[in-house]
Amino acid sequence: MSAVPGLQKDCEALLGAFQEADTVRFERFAELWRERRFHTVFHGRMRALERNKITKKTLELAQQYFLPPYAFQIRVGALYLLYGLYNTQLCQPKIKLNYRTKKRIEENECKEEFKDPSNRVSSLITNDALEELMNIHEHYQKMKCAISADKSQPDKALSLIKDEFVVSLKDIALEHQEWQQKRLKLLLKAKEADEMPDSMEEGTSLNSEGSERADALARIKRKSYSAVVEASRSRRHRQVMLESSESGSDYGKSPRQSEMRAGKETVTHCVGMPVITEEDSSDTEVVPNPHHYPQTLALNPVNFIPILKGQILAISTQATVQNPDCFTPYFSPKFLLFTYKNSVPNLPAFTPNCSPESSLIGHKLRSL
Amino acid sequence: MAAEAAEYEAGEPHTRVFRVGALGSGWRQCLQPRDLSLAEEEEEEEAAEAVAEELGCTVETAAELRALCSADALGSADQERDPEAIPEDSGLETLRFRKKALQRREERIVVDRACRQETLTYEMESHAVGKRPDDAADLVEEGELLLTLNIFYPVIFQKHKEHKPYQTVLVLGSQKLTELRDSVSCVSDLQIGGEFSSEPDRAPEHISKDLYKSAFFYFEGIFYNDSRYPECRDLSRTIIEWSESRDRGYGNLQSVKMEDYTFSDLSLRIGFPYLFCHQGDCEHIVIVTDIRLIHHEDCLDRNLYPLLTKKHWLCTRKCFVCKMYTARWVTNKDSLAPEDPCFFCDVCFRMLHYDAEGNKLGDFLAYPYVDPGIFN
Repeated sequence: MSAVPGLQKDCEALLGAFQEADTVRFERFAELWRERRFHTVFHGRMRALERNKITKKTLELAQQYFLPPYAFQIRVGALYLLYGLYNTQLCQPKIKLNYRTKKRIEENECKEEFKDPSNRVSSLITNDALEELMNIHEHYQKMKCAISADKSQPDKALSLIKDEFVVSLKDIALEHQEWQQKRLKLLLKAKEADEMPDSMEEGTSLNSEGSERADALARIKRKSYSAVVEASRSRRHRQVMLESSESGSDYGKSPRQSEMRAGKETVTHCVGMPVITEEDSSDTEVVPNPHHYPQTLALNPVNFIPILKGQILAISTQATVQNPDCFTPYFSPKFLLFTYKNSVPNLPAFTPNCSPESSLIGHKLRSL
Repeated sequence: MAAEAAEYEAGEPHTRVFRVGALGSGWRQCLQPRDLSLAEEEEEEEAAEAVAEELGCTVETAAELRALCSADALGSADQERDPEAIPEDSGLETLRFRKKALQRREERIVVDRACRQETLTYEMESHAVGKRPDDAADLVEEGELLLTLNIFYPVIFQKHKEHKPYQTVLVLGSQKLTELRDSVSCVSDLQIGGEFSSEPDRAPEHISKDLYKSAFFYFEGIFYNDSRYPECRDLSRTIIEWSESRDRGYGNLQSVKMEDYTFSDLSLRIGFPYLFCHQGDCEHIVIVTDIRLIHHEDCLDRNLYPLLTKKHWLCTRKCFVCKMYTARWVTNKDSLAPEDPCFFCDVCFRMLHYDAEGNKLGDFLAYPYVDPGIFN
């Protein structure tokens, strides 16, 4: 189905304005809608069949913004947009919303700014990956012990892996995340202090999924609830008082939902660290990166990989002391996993001049 | 329950497997009776009370909320303005493009009215909407599930490589699979087998539909075979034996009876292609595109379901001679015809190939022909 020309631009303009308004109040959305007289999007002379088709396509387009990977605010805006479009449509009987609309949602159609920031590091070092690493490592250790002289621990030549490398890997990921959160807080504080107009854009480019989203949610909530609507004169006596406790059922569910969804992937989950943190942001000094990383570069998660590489290099250099052939400059965690997986069941024969470990790795590297 | 229900935010073209009935009962649990009701729109006071109850606030607050969030807030002040006219000073891109297109159309098109196909399509979509049965027993139940299925045509034309034509059918969750099977109209059901050049008058009455009654649906590893008649055979047995003969990685394929299952009993994915096979080798792809609860604006007459809402228009092949009537005969190796195969209507066929006494003239093979466009 071809798109309705100009519709995407109009929707994105409206949702963009809603995002800038930095609220989730329907009233604000309704104001923006009325400004643009958005209900006229269905106007124009057309026969019944064409009207049906165009209405259907309009609703489908709006529905796309309601699904992930869009940010929470955009999704709320999309919900209001759907509500508005559904109720102002001219078709009789009304066109309903489909459970599934497009079969393929094109990647390049999504507007970058609306996307929820993703945390690639956390998605790389997930709980599952760590668990698997640990399991395989244990298995491997057992095999090494089995073929060693002393059954309780592997031979000196075989024991080259730091036993706690999984734990240290997890710690690194945790530290990085903590550092990112602190950095984000600093930025937000700076924004509130200086009222930087483009902080929203900057905010979306930082990478820290769960807690950033939660922080954003808490912020929006606070702002919405503190903005009390002043009732019209006739209803002044019914002026709503600002409540201290957050009882709004509209938003009450969402932090929990985002926590559940975020908790699935972040490493923090397994250590029991709370995803939603209400930390007292009193640190105004420059937050030092635990690994002395230059601040500007740290925004890009790809730069995190060198830290990881450093740790793994430490492991691999021990292996390669005996056999320099199999040294590789880059060792991703997934690759590590792969080599372990493939090497555990078939231990090749020993060669006198290099350790089984390095020959294993070398063997796998050469066969790839 | 959570494992059974579908996810709403799947990234792939289709969802994961879930039980249709579970989805329905899940929704029914969450919704209030007034949401499921098939009556017309509700009263104002009742609505405010319902909102108050759900949010746990006072009725006054609920009324205020309703006023604030009402859809009226989104309409314009001048509701009476003609929706056909595009406002002059609109800032919307959509309207700018639409205005241009309309102007272009006015300049170019001499007569602007709906063609037959458009009328047919519109009629099909909307003819049953809002229909209520005379007999209350035929009324669709509240909370009934409505599934939308796309059944693709088996015809493989060159021009259908990109977009395969299909028909859209609405079925109720409580309907049996056999009801859908009976409602599918496929041209292969009407075929008459046999060569009849020597006795054109004796083309038999039996169409394939009566002779070969077997059929099956395939959903998620289970073959649902039609076994209502003694002539029905288990067409899926061959496939199951083939998959079990070696480790082909298909898992356990089962075979059950079609008439024992309703759509609510099925486990399936939305957007995933499944199969309907009849006449031994006539295969239709079936895709479920939508599942929702029945709404008071839908067709509420049970007897009209499965309801056909969309059909692909197939051009009928006309007789080669008169080019007026639909072809009823096709000939091969015909010395009297200019091309092979050649299509004729009944009258032209007899006039050309038989003399006044009914003797066969010339050399040819003749088969009765059923055009795919017969269902237009």
